[in-house]
Amino acid sequence: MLTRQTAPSVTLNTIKTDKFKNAFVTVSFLSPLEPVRNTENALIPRVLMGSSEKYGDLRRLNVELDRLYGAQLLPMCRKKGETQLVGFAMSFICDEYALGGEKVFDGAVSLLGEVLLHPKTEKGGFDPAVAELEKRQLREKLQSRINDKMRYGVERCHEIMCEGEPFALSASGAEEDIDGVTPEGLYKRYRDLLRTAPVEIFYIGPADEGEVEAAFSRMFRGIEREPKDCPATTVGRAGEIRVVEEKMDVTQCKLTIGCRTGVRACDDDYCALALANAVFGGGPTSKLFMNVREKLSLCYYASSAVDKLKGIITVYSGVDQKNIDRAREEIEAQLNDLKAGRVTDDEIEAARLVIINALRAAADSPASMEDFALGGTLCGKKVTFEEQIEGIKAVTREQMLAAARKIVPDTVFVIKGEK
Amino acid sequence: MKFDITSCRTGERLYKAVHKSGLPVCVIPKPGFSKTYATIAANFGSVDNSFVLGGDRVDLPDGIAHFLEHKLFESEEGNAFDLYAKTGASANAYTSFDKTAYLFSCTDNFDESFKILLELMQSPFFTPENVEKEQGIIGQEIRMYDDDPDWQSLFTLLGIMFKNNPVRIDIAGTSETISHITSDLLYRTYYTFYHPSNMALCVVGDVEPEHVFELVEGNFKMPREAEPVENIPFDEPEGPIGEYVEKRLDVSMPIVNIGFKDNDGNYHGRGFLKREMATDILLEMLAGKSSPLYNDLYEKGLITPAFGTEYMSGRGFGLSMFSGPTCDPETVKNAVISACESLAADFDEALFERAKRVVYAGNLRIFDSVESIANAFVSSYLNGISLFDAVEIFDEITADDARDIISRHFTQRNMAVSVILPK
Repeated sequence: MLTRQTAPSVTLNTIKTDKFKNAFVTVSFLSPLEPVRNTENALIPRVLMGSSEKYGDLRRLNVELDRLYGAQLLPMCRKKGETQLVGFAMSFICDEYALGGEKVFDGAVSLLGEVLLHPKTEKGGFDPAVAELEKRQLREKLQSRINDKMRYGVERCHEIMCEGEPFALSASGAEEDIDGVTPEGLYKRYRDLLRTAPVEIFYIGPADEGEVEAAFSRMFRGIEREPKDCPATTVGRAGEIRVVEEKMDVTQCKLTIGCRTGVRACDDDYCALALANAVFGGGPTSKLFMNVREKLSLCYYASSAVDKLKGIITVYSGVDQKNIDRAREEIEAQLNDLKAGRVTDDEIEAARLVIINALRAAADSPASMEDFALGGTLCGKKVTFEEQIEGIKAVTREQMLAAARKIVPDTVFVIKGEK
Repeated sequence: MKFDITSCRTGERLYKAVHKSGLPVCVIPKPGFSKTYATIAANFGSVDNSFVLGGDRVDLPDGIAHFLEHKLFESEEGNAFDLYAKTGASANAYTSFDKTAYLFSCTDNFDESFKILLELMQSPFFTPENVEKEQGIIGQEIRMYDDDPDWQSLFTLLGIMFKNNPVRIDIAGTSETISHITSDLLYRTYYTFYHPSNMALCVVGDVEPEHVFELVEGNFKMPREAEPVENIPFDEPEGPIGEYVEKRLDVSMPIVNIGFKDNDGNYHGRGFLKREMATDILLEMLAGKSSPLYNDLYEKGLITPAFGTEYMSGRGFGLSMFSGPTCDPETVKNAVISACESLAADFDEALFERAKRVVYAGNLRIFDSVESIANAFVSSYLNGISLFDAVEIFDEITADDARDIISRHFTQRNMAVSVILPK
């Protein structure tokens, strides 16, 4: 990966590869997660899609994208730790596959620049009709988060566990803040992002690095920049276990347990924690799968996942209402077994292979490469896949157990049926 | 094993051989990729639950293909996951309406993982105890899908679209139907459908094809013979059995699914493939991101970016769908009807060319992932076509092919609508 500054705090990361038939581009503006601001940020890329000065409305932009062989331009708002990443992801076919010999790269990057940096304005704000439409769309999107019960359970668990910390905020914003957003306020927020937010750009594809650099340098030329760094993600500590239940009309209950670890990707024992998590609940060789599913037949899935920037581990499972307590007891018993060292070398080696396989496999997916690299940038410790693999290989049993003992359950969130 | 090589315009090459047992083996090298993905699929899915064997009619409980998929992961030596744990491969399996596929992906130790996969297919081990344990796990899988709005939207529609084809029944069956599954029944089903000429194997990744063929030669010992199964035709009437159906779930807003039944009857081979791809182009013309339908509804706030289309087919069935969340299912339905009517009356050739480009790029995207290549390949192979043929046939599709489908397929007599309503 080649990394260059194309403007103050505008970083271009290029991975030149001929492996794929589609090129992948992301542009992310980094903004601290803050109330109200998170909702405005979430609206900005959506509003920009319908506000391009050159293309006019979303309809004409979509026609342009389809002419570029169905190039995909997606407004994107992500959360990494306590930073909100606002921008776009784009993918389009590589020039050699264009049937008419078109320069798809040139067309796609120039379109992205137009959408990102040249919106039409009205009385110092975005087009009010576009802003209203996208406010409605965002509201519906936020309301629809109850549709996916597993994901909703995880999000609610994080909100409750990290109440008062920026991590509790959603990258998609909050429904109650939508009404207060005005076209003018939104435009002001957009200008502010352009001026102050650090920008991370990724290009993964076959184009020459020089060509890519020239295209993105041109894009940001003339933009006034006074970049401000985002604050580092905070680490919370677990207190008394909180149990929160919510009733929904479901046939299967969802059990989510949020745990604090205090270990983040920038810490020396992160690889040990990643290994401990894999032994505990990462895939079919893990304690949760082997016991909660295979031995007790209580569920179809029981897994755990690490948030490496915030240093939390989340356990999630779907079980019958009558089995909630039993499943929770078993999950906690498995964690205690792990902490007490009741774990075989085979379990540890299997977990190690699971992580190494996943890290190597990530090199086959542009989106995974980008995600991994951004994670490194945001935690302030950039590592390559190979370095991370070496780190995982070097973890000893004792180091893994020491990290496992840092996993402390903090919040239990249960979605129960109404009957 | 003797093999043939075919090249594709996309740059890929296919190495194909047939093992002496009758098992077709396909290898598509992807130099530079970290992952190797192997999948073996049986031409047996959830719709194949009634047939004639040795002169007798056999009716299997709904969900048995999926149950068998879960149970084939167990052998006398234990769970296949335990065996893969030693190689680091990531293993899985899935059951569709007419296929059951077993797979793994790995970045190391390919040979060992590949032997596990082949062994798995040849060593069924079902006991009353391990069948009972799986009833609990699959019971929870079914309940998970009971709460999944998109899944429910699909099956609510299929339920009024089809009268006799078992596509109308959930792939996993119900808690009730799977309670009738026994280890004996699983053995009988396995020996009826899992034989080499009813299966296909595909490996995609940075591998030497000759080496893969050698591994198959040395490790695949399934007998060639099996008693032939006679399919019972589904006797499916033209058109749906109802026009409208709704179901209530805990969702934020209604989800509409507007389906058009495909009455063609042929869902196999080259002719079908061409019709399928022409239908994909039509769906893109009708409701793609740059279509008037999509933009009119989006601007009015009546659909979200999740609105989309799909043509779906399998043994004995096919249908096109327009679906997504909306606050006004009726208006969306009427808009879809009038978009179909206007396209039939006034076929825009420029729009056809643009949509064709979009579908072309979508198909090209398959080649960027070893998983999608292998899954698409195995599935098309068992349907009597090759993924590489698709690339060639696609070029031949003309505006006339699409025009022909619009007037036959997208008509109100083929249409049915399902709506998932908030509680």
